[in-house]
Amino acid sequence: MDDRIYDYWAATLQDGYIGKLIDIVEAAGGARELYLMSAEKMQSFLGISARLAKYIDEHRPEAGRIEDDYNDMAYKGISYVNHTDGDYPEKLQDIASRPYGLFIKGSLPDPEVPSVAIVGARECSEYGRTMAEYFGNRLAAEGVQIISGMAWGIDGISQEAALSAGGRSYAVMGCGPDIVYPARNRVLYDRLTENGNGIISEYAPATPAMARRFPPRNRIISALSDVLIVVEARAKSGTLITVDMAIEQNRTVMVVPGRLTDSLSAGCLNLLYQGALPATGIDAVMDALGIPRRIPSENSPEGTGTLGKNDESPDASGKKVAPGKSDAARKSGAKKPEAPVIIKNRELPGDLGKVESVLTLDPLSAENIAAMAGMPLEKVMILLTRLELEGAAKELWPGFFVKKPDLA
Amino acid sequence: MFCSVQSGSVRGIESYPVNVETDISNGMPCFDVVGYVGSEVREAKERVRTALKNAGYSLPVARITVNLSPADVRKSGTGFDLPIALSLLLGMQVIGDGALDDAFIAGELSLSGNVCAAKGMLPMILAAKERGIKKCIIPAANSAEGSVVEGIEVYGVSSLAEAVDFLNGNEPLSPMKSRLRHDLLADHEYDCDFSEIRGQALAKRGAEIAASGLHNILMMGPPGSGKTLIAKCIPSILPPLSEEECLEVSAVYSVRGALSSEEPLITRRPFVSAHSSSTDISLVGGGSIPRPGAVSLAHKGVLFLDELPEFSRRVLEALRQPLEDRVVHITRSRDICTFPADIMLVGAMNPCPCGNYPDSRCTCDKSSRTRYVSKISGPFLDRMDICITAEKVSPFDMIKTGCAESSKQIKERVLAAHAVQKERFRNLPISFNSQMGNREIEKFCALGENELEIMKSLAVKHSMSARTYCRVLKVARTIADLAGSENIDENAILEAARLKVSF
Repeated sequence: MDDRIYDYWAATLQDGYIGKLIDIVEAAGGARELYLMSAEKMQSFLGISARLAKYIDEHRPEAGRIEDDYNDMAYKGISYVNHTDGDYPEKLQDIASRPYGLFIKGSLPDPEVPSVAIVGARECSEYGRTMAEYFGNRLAAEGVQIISGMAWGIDGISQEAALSAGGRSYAVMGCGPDIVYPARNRVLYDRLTENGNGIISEYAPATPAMARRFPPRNRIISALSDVLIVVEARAKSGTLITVDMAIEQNRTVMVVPGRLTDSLSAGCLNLLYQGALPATGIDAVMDALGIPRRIPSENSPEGTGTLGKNDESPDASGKKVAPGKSDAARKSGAKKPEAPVIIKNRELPGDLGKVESVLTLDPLSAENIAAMAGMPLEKVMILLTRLELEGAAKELWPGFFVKKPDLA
Repeated sequence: MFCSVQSGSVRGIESYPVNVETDISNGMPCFDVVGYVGSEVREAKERVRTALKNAGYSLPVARITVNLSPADVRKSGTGFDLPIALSLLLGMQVIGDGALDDAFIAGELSLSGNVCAAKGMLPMILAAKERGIKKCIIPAANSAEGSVVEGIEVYGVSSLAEAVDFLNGNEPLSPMKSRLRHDLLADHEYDCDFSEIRGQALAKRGAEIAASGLHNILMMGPPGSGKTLIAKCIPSILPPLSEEECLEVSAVYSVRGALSSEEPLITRRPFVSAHSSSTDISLVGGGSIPRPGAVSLAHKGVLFLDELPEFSRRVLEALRQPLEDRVVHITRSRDICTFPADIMLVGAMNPCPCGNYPDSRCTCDKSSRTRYVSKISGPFLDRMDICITAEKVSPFDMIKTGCAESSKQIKERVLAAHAVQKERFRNLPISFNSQMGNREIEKFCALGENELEIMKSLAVKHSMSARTYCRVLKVARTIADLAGSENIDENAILEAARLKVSF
């Protein structure tokens, strides 16, 4: 137990960006030895910089205080998993700068179950929301675990969707696992702490959310997953850090294609150009995972099965290329792979169908819809409420409506 | 020598009678005014003394005591100058005995002996009439306002000397002719008309429904989309003020001193626009001597709050009680003042700080948008039955000519809906759908099986609160009334659900 507390203390040092923390502790002969070592000795014996030694020295509270914090953590229902523990995720073991330990509220992902990370923009479009919901929901229904960062936007939406489908989801935080960040996702946070889901962080409880803590957590998101799906990302998005990490860690990167004119999809298109796999639907992702679908798809064309999980290492030239489908594999397929159509046609009668056909994923005002459908406004208002009841439309903002597409 | 004349003052907009008693007797020469008087009434002593002197009457060298009775009510206002002066002159036997019997007197004096206007004349004269008083002597400047009241002779005097001459029968004055009927029947042109508004079909529809059931309405839209113009047009589709309403409204303006000789009576539905920098007191009324606020000035009309989120939370919270009770109660240590506040609230707001959301030009992020909208508290939003979005008018709509419906045409439909409601609520203390309580909703908003099913699924879909559910029903009732149908049909429900506040 005593040693455990020193390990816990060493894990709290992770906030200081000590990439080789595990090596340092090993060189010192254990967390306890490091704790008891003077700053001078750290420099001379461990060969670490004066700055780092100073950092460790300054973050060395009394042993009693550490023990109190440790007990307090347990009291809050947060568990600590050291990198030497058996339940430390296997997927984290082989990545560079793996965390010294993890703080977990809830559970860790099941290592036997395939995991997909869904990440993207915070200020996402309705298209992004729809796609995040689609992948989160359908993948969860296939029994896939969804890993993400619980951020506002794509992250939270996909996790929410996964939970709603009765699946499991795990959030990797850029703050202590007891901090709800963003606070608006409180409900999601609460759901993620129970029923086998989990909140995971390498930061000790009570560590506040800070911008500098987010990029490092992205490496854990990508590492815990088998496939990373980017839903929406601008040309210079923080999401691209996760992509870089995933490539470094040899994970498959998939991208939801967007329109060339959407700045929110610019980053995605860039990744596609670099060779990431297009996430054209649930089948494509299941193929990338290399597992068959539990729920047979309705209109999946034959031949998509040739696309399998690809374990190639990153491009030898060191270029940033997603380890997607190799050219060889693309060419070798006897049949041309064909992406299944995921959008279904809602057959709505008469005027209802007319109004629905006018709707898009971009918000339109009721007056515009009336003008485009060529109907009086009062009638359109009534039909819009009907469509909303059918689940075919959604009021995005008072007076503005978007289509809710029916996806396979 | 003792004598007394009748006067009065106002507390809130209620008038209370005051007897001005004067006693002139032998003793140490002095001039005292007693009877729980406020400082402006205490100063009347100096004004009266000087005005009398300048009018050519000098006070006798005697002990003069003036009492304002009842002595336990605090007197305020400047209207006691004239009655004090006249009762003194009565005591000095300058005015003949009996000349002031059955007369109500109020007015302020200037040092020169001229009579100046005082506030609250209309409610005072109305109360005097109810007490059975036959004639009023009031400042000439207020005479137009006083002439509104029927069944009482109103004489306007401009100086003390004129008053004395008139009372002594030396100079006949003719009473003002009542102009209530005449003014009321006049054709009331409003500044704005719906025919001037191009496009904005949704906003117009919302305004029509709101006016029909007197629902509070919230308009959301980018700057320049015409929210203010639509709000200004709403009084033009409301029915004309009835005689009773007109007097009620005018009384409030009288207390504020806001009636002029050009417009002695408020005959048009008030439209009061309150600026977002307003304080709670300026909005609901208050002050050490309570005065009506904007919400009372908008009584029986429209109170327009532009830039709703810019109002301080405190101010909006202060509005909640008047919106609920349709009166404002202002409590002071001595008494409670009540001002009427039966208003239709029209709120306007931008969708976000920059005003362009959901247009792509919007530069605000989600959190600043949420912060902006959440400045309006939920309980306040709960009072808004209808929410509509006004869009920027497209140039195409701008150049389209003619064809827009005029206020007059819309008003006809509104009047028809009002008539239906009048009939419905004839035995109840309410008159409009918006005022229905739970019991009335249950009684008058009964739904058929099919409609109930739709309402249920809507409630689930939008996770409606009980309050929202009731509001949708009330608006649906109004839509059905507008359509002339007895039962709330499916379409009324679907449209009402569309018009609810949904953010």
